[in-house]
Amino acid sequence: MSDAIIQLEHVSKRFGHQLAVDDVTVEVPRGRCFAWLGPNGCGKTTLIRMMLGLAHASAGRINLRGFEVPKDIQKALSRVGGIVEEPRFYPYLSGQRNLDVWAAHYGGEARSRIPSVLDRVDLTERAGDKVKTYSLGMRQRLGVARALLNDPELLVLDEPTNGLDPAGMLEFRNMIRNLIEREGRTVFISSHILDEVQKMADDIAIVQAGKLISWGPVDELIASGRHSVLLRTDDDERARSVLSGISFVTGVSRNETHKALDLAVADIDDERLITINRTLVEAGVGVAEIWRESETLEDRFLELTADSKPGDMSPVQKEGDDAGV
Amino acid sequence: MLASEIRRIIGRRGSYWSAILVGLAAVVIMIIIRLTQSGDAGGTELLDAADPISIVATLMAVLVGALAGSYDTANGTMRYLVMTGVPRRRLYLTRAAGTLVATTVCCLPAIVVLIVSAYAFRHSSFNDPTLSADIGAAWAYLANPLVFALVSMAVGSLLNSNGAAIGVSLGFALGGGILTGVVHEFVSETLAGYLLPAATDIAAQLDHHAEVSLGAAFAAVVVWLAAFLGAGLWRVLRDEY
Repeated sequence: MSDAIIQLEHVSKRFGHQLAVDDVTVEVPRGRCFAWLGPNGCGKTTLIRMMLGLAHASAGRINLRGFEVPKDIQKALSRVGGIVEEPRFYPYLSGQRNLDVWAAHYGGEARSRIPSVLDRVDLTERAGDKVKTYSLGMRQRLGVARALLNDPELLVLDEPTNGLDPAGMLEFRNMIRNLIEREGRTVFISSHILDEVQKMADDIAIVQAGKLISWGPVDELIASGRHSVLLRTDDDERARSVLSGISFVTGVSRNETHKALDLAVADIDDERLITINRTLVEAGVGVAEIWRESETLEDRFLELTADSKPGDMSPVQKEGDDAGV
Repeated sequence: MLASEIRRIIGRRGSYWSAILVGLAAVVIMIIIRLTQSGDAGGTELLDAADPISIVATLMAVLVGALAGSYDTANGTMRYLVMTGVPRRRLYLTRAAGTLVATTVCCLPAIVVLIVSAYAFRHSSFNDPTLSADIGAAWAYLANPLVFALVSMAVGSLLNSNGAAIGVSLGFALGGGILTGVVHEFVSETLAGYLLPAATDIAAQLDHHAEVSLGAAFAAVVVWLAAFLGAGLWRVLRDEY
C-alpha cells in the first residue's frame, strides 16, 4: 500500500468548455512539504477545492489519508486543516471567538487546543480583539491557527504567503518547516512564487493550464533540466568549431549578458568541465574563464512551461508520470 | 455547534439588536397608543394585539433569517465550515435551528413587555389575562416571525448574497401578503387560506373559524416551510465553495 497522504488519479475539472484541471495523477508523500507550482489561473485552487470536498471532480479519483473523497469526506477531513484562497472569518467576532466557532464544529479536543494554537501563531495578546481590526498577516496567522485546531496530519495551504512582507514570509516559512520536521505533518501548498517555493518545499509539481507537467523532489527536478557552461576565450569562432566535436555539448550560443559562450550540456560535473577546458587548450584556444551557470527552479520552471503545450507533452516532460516519489 | 451558530447570528449586533429594539419599540408604542387614545384598553385586549403588531417583528426576523442563510457563503466562511468535515446537511439544519432560537430570543423582550402590560393595565371592560391567554399571545406574536425567519434563511441559502437575500425575503413577506389578499378577493378564499401568509396567520391565532381548518392551515405552513427549506438545502448540498 502506498504511503502517500494524497493520491490523485486522472483528476479533471471542467467548467463548461473550460478544462481547469486536466487529467492530473500525482502522489504526495507523507512528512514533506509538497508544492503545487504554477501561474495564476492554472487550476491550483480548483484542485485544492476538489481535494477538500469543496468542489466536485468532473473525473478521476481523489484519496486523502487513505479515504476516498467525496465518499468518505468526513473521515478524510477529520485531520486535515487548510486555507483556501484567503483566510475568512467573522469580522465582528474576536479571534478567540472565531476559533471557538470552528472548534465547536471539529469537536473532540479542538477547544482545548485554542490557547496553544494562538500562542503558536503569536496571536495570544490580540485574541480578544475583533478580527476586523487584524492586518492581513494576522488573519493569515489566525488562518493557520484554525487549520491546526484539529491536530491535522495534512495541511493544505493555498497561496499561503500572499500579501505577507519579507519578514512575514520568513516567519511563515520557518513555521511550515517546523510543522514538518518537528511534528511530522505533511504540508501541501500551492503557489506561483518560485523563490518562496524553492526555499520551502521538498517536492514540487509544476502545472500549466491545469495540466501537470513535471513533479518530483526539488533538487532532482532542478538537476534534470538543461545545464549551461559559460566560458570566455580568445577566439570564439575557433572555440565553437572545437566544441562541436565534444559529444556531450548539445549546443553553443552567445550569452550577451556575460559576454561569453554559452554551452548547453545534457549533464554537468567537474570531469566534463575539465574535458571542455583541456580540449580547447589543446586545440590552441585560450580559455580566460570557465564556469557552471547555477540552475534555479525559475530556470527549470521557465524551461518546462515554455516548452510545454497542454496536450502536446514530450515523454521527458511527462517524467512525473513514471518517476514516482 | 448550535451554540456557536446562535453566537454567530447574535454576534451580528447591528442587525440583531436593531431587530430586538425595533420589535420592542413597536409593541411599546402600540401599548401607549391604546392606553392613551382609547383609555379603556387593558388585560386580554392588549394580548389580542400580539398577532397584528408582530408584523414589525416579522420584518425584523426576515432580516435576521436572510443574513443567517446567506452570510457564510457571501463572507467566504462557508468553505471553512465545510472543511471541518461536518456534513453539509447538518450544517444547514444547525443553521435553521439557530435561526429559530435567535428569532425567539429576539422576540422575547417584546412578548414580556406585552404580557406584563396586560397584567399591569387591567380594565374592568376586559377579561383579566390568564396563563393560557399569555401563551396564546406569545404564540400569536412568535408564529409569523418564526415562519418568515425560516423562509428567509432558506432564501438566503438559496441566493448566497446578503443584499439579494434580504430583498427577496422582504418581497416574500410583504408581497406574499398582498398576493394572498388578491387571491382572497378575486380568486378563492379557500385557496388564499392555503397560501403561506394566511395559513400562518390562521395558525398564529389558532383560528377555528377561518376558510380552512386549523389543521389544514398548520399542514399548509409545514408544506410551505418544507418547500423553502428543501430548496435551500438543495443549494447547500450541491454548491461549490
